[in-house]
Amino acid sequence: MSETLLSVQDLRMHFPIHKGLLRRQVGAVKAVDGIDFEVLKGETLGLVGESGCGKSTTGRLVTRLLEPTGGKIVFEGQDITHMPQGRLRPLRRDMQMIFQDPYSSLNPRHTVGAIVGAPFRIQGIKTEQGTKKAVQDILELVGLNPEHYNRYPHEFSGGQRQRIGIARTLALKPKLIIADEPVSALDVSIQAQVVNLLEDLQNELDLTYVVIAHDLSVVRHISDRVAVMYLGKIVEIADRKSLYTSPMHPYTNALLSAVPVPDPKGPRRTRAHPAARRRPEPDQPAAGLPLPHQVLEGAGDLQDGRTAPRAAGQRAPRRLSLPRERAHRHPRARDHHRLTVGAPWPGWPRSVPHSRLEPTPATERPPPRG
Amino acid sequence: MTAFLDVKDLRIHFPTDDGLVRSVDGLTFSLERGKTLGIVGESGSGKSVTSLGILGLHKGGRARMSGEIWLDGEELIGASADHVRRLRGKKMAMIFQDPLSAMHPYYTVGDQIIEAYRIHHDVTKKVARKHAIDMLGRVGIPEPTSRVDDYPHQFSGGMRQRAMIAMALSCDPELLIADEPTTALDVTVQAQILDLMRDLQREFNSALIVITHDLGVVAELSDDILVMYGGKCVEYGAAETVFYDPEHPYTWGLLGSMPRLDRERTERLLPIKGSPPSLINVPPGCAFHPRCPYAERTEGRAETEVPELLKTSPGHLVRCHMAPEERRRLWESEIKPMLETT
Repeated sequence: MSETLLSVQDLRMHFPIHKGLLRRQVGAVKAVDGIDFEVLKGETLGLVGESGCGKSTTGRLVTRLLEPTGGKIVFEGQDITHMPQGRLRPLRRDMQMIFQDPYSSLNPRHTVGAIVGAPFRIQGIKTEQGTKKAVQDILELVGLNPEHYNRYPHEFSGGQRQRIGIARTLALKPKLIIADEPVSALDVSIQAQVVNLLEDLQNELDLTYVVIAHDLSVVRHISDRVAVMYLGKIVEIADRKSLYTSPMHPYTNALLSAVPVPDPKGPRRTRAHPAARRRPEPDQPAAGLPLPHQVLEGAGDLQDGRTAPRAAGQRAPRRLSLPRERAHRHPRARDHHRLTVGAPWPGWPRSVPHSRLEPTPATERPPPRG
Repeated sequence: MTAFLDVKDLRIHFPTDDGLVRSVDGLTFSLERGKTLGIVGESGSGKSVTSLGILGLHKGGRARMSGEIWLDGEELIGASADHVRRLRGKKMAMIFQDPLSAMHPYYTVGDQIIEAYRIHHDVTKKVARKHAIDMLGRVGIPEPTSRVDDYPHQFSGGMRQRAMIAMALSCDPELLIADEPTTALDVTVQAQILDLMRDLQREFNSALIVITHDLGVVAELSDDILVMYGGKCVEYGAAETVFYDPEHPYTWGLLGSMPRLDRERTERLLPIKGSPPSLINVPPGCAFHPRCPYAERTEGRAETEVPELLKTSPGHLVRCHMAPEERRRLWESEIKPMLETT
């Protein structure tokens, strides 16, 4: 059994909403609202969900770019939830991030050498043959020409820039890499190159990934386990195969059946499920509340005592969390727990027709190295 | 009998300080009413320039356009700007990729639809407003009577895209061009927009051009598919043909680059090496040859000679130096098994 590299317990990030003359807090946007997951050494955890579900916030919390408002983050046995920046800095060597936009995440005034060499400089690390040699080795590792050491980011294409970003991430041989939409800004053919590169690097350097993405097919390709997020909560987490072949949560099902099939004669995507239309829009966070729970009103008392703050225009406090009782373990789950939460509201059908996914077992990747 | 939309040898070049940008270089296709053409290609392949060219939205001073564009028996290239402007909206309309920048932030969504409608119809504001509300309702905006007075920023991404569609459809255009209509949207919203476009096309019997890099979207909507690379069409045929019997190595590359949910997970993706060419320096010969794994099979012709777009079977055109038999053999024996198994 592999050891746990990262463990997140009941993590919360509530951004306050201030209103009025006194800037009093009138509510909160619950971007991340009590999530638990573990990442084992050597595995890839995919984090999917629609925009505004809190997946990027989760990535930023785990790397401590944001200070969580609740919960616990344990990295390699150390509680880093509220660790001060000074003590956190040495840990940053082991925990790095790949950003989505290769255009804005590289300083246009710095050369590739300076960008990829920055981690050495900041961490005060001296290498045997000097930083330049180390940087060139890394450039070569990610498929760039080491002679491009003195070039500037604008001289590179999008795919190459993303490789520069990955080189910088890898500079200090981190243990955990959080990749926030690593390929979504790239062209299709380049996406595949970067996905393959990430997989090769994982095999070569024994990396652990948390890949945050909205593209379900990319996530299936790259992940060992997948967590589906919806409105700040994880609604389903399972190993790749069982999540994609037999999704348990209606939301996962709705997501999967919305993906268009690249096969003109193949079974048609089922029409958009009417339930999906009721999804709250991320740019109307004033309510500060996930919508489906509104529909849950009257479905029973609050199960765990969490109530929603009263936000503007709201009539009554609404249920915020799904009843814990309805969460159940999936019998098919073996090593990892598979948590699904009951239907978000009555009337969301338990299963949306989902004919496209073949139930036959996919070729498995070797189990994560421990 | 000519088709509803007939584009012949369309060339759109932009002279710049760095050289001539050949964004579209000899594009020919046709489209009937009620049918959908999918244009696929990577960024910088000339897809969007083509669509703007059809609508006559390139500034005359900047772009050099040649060739023919026949829309319902009318030649658009060389027609007066004023004439094309009258056609825009009523005869042809466009759904842009980014609705936030395509809509005017100072005017309400309703005003913008009303303006478009009143340009083409001699009606009072009241009637036009009713029509705008009707259109917004049709595209699935909740409470259109009150939302009609909202500004674009008050709409969410998916709703803005719907409002864009409502605006584009307000005058029942006969030709609708959708440039990456769902790229910025979440899958669930994308699904709704795709449903909507299909329903509306059926209802109005309009011709639809969908421009995208997402093969899933293309497969779902299109009757015909045109694959563009470096400003040229490299493969053109019925959707089934292009998906099941593609003959161009670039199309193979696109299919291999894409992880698919409807098949078993492959161990590795099969990307195309290199990156798309700059349109200033399109590689000589076949534009795809630096990235093509089969370039050496053409005895050097790939580097020197531009391949012709030739018919390999009825309705299927491919621009490749390899012999059709060889391409089919490669597809059947090497590429197809790789895409389907492992």
